[in-house]
Amino acid sequence: MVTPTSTLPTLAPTPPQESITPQAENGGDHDVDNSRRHDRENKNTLEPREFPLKFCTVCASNQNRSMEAHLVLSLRKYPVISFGTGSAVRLPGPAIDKPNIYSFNATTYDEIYNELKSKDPRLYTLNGLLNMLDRNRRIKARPERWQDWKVGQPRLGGTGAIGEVPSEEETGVEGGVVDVVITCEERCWDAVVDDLHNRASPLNRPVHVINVDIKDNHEEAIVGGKGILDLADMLTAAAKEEREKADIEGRGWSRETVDARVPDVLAEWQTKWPNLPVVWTCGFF
Amino acid sequence: MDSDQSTTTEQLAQLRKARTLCLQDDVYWPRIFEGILPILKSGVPELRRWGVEFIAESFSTPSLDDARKTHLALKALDTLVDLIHENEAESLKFAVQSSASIYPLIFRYICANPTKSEEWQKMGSIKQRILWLWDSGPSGVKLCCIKFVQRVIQVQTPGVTDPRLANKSEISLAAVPSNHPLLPISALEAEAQGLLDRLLGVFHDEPVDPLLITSTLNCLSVLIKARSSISNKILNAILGFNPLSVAIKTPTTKSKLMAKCLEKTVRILLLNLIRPNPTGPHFQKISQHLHRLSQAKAEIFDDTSRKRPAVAPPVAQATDAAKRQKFESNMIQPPASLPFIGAPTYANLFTLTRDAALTNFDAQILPIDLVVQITLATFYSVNQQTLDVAIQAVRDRYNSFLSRASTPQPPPTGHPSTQSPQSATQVSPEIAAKALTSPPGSPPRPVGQPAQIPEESRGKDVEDIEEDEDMEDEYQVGAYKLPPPPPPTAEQRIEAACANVDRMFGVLDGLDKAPLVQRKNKGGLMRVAASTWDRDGWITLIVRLATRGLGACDVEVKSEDGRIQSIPSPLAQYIRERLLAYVLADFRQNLDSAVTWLYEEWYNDSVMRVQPMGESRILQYPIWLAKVVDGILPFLEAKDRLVIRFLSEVPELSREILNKFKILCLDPDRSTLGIQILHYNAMLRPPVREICLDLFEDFYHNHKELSSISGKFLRKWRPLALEAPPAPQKEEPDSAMNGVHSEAVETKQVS
Repeated sequence: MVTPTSTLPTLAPTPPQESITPQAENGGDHDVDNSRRHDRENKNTLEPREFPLKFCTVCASNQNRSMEAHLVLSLRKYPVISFGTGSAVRLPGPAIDKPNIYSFNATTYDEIYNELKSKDPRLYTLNGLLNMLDRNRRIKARPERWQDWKVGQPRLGGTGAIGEVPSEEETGVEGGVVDVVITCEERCWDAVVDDLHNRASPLNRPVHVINVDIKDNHEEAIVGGKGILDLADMLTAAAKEEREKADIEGRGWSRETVDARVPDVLAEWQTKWPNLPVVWTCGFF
Repeated sequence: MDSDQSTTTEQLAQLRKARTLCLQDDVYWPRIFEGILPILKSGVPELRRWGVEFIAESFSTPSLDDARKTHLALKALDTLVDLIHENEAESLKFAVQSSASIYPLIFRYICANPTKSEEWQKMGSIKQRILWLWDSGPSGVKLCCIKFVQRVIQVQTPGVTDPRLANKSEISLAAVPSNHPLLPISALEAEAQGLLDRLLGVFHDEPVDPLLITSTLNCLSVLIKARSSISNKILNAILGFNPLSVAIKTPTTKSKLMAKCLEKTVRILLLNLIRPNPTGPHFQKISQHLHRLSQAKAEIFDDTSRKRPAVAPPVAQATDAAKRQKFESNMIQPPASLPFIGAPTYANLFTLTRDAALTNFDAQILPIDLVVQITLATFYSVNQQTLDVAIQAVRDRYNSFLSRASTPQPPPTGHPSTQSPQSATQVSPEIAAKALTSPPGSPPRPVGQPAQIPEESRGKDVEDIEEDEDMEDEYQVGAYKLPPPPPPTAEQRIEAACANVDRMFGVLDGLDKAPLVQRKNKGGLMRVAASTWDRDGWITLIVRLATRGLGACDVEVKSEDGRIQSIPSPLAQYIRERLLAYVLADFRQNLDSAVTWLYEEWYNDSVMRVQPMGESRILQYPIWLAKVVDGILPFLEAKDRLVIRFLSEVPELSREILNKFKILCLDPDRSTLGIQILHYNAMLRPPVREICLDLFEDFYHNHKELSSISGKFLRKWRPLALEAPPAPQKEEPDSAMNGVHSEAVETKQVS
């Protein structure tokens, strides 16, 4: 559940923006708030070789932390999808024992937004829920449950977000698989790894499952989103480096993969972000 | 060159479109797949890279079924043999991934087509190459090799032998016909064993490679679950692996992080294994291992987290000690004979420090409540010896002052006075004596802050001393008293009392729930009840509170027929209700508490009966015994022989209670238990024997199914009844309670 604390900066509904090239922005101190814009029209700048890794963010309800990370990663053009591991979507209600509960995959963010708005616009504006839902409905259509995800099933036809411009371009995640899963809470990491055991890995495809522990409130989600973006940048940089390094060093292999670098990158990242404890494992889809 | 580049880009764009088509509708997939195979032979690396990824995707996608994948796999075998010799780690990863996906499919195909030796050879060469890569490939490729090997092991070990449980789509050695020309079962199984040994060898490799270990751990669960023949071996290897060793050997940030990751990976795997089957053979072993792991983890991470504070304390202690020494030396410094410093004022009399700053400090600027706080804190922490020395010093000074005062002298001039000459006037001995001795019995002034309270009189003229004295007295009795809070209303009191009772029951819930037989009997006549704060202690406390404790608060009410009755207070009733709920919540565990409680009720009833108002008091024991029996009766099962003991231990049984058990005897499922209860009481509890026999007689005559067993008992205890015609049930007064265990009660009360 999301702890209501403050409001978020609002998102302008898909204004056309100049494209942000990832190379130019990489390594810099990203000000996410400044770049919180939707620029789906510029999808044609996507060059898959620039994005060797596909990401997936996971939290409990697929509302706050995973969606914040989903937003910042997608603004950087990373291929990204997101899920929740809870049994249902739980949002704060008028009292602590009266949460608003919705089912995953069935209810859209837009429906939740409208329902809460009609229930008590003042309360849900003050606790930041409407803002959050408004952001979410412009990212994708509905909260999705990790356990119901059919890995490898094609994900075509756009995200279903409000104001989305239909596009024929590849998003990077149309194949329905990812290379890195980032969970936002240890409980979710446990659920994801456990679920991978239960799926018996039919795809034989390796996947790095990383937990970045973020408290469930709006402020921490923003900090966590920055941390996750930094992690994605560092992993991507390492992946690109490995590609080039092998050539230069003249090893028997003309290219390496990023996998062996993950532990080092994580250790380095952890020293940069000591307040976001990290856990990692390498599993298989 | 440029044109080449542009054609490659164009080709890639076309290929992507083709793939999108596949994703949109899997009907196109096989045709596009076959069309793409030639591209993989092209010399353009970009195209090959794209192609091999597409092949891996095709074999892993859930959009295609196994039959279509098998068809495609056979077509792609040649291409894969080439691809597996790629020199690029990323492409190799996908090639190995594809091989892992098709290995079971090809295996099954060969099972069904024993003549296709060519295909099996190709698959074999791919396997050999991958096993070589497993040794010497880049890490990312090794990762996929591990998965490939896991698939091979899964295929080449016997699966579920029971055909009813076998999953049709699952491929194992069980699918191989016994005399297959290409697939010798024993050789394949031996190969799988060898590969498994090598796979598990990763746990002993040095240095520890977290990438390979986590990926191995994460692909083992399938083998453990689906292959019982090798599950023990794998499990033992996992249990033998210490994920924390990496942090012990080299305690760096990274190794600690990796130790945490490895530990969590092992933990989730083991939990995943035991969760569906908590009664399985490995449950005990695994849960013990998990327990050990968490202890070891706590040690390592606590140790390291403690490390920093562990360094700090010596420093802190050193400075602390230095401070304290300085302080104490200041304190003890005044020798017993230390003379007055400065004028003979109260302030100087009590000033034991030579610290000029402290001496000049005017304590009057401190608010009185702060002074009180400091003083109290000082008194709690002051060293007795220091205090004694200080008192002695002050006393000596005073005595010497008195002796000097009796022979008037000019004030000592050897010491520089901090006071104005006016204030240096002498204090008359009488007044000083009075001030020093009053109030009687009060502790001496705080030594830690030697100048505080006495400072009040500092700088005052001798004329003021009388007044000061009054002021001091006033301070000592306390000038301000908090007004008493408004008395709580009756409801508030009961509410608060109920909350307290709830808390006591909360304590009970938190105590360990040892089974009845394991609870230690700390018996002995000399023991004092409720002396230990364990479950029994709390139960005794609560029970006595409800019975004897609140017995004095009984309320008198007029009953309908005008008689005055005394009933227990609402609070006592509340506790009783809670006790009843506590007992019934888990009566098998809590029957001993019920016995304790009912004893106390019975004892309290007998004590109250002889009190002046005893006649009008409603007996509580029968009420609550009936409630307990009614509560447990519906849930009793044939195996609950404990209830026999319960009934034999409660102090009194009435006909009414025993009649309740009649229903138990008539219930075919629980009849044995009912009969046993009656039989036991008939045999060993003479006062209720007649009641039990009456019940047996009733069974004998009126309930055919019980007549033979009832006859057996009646023959022994009441042979006459066997001949007599069915007699109507005798009506005996219910109040004929039979005190049997009064002796036992007495011993219990000793406690």
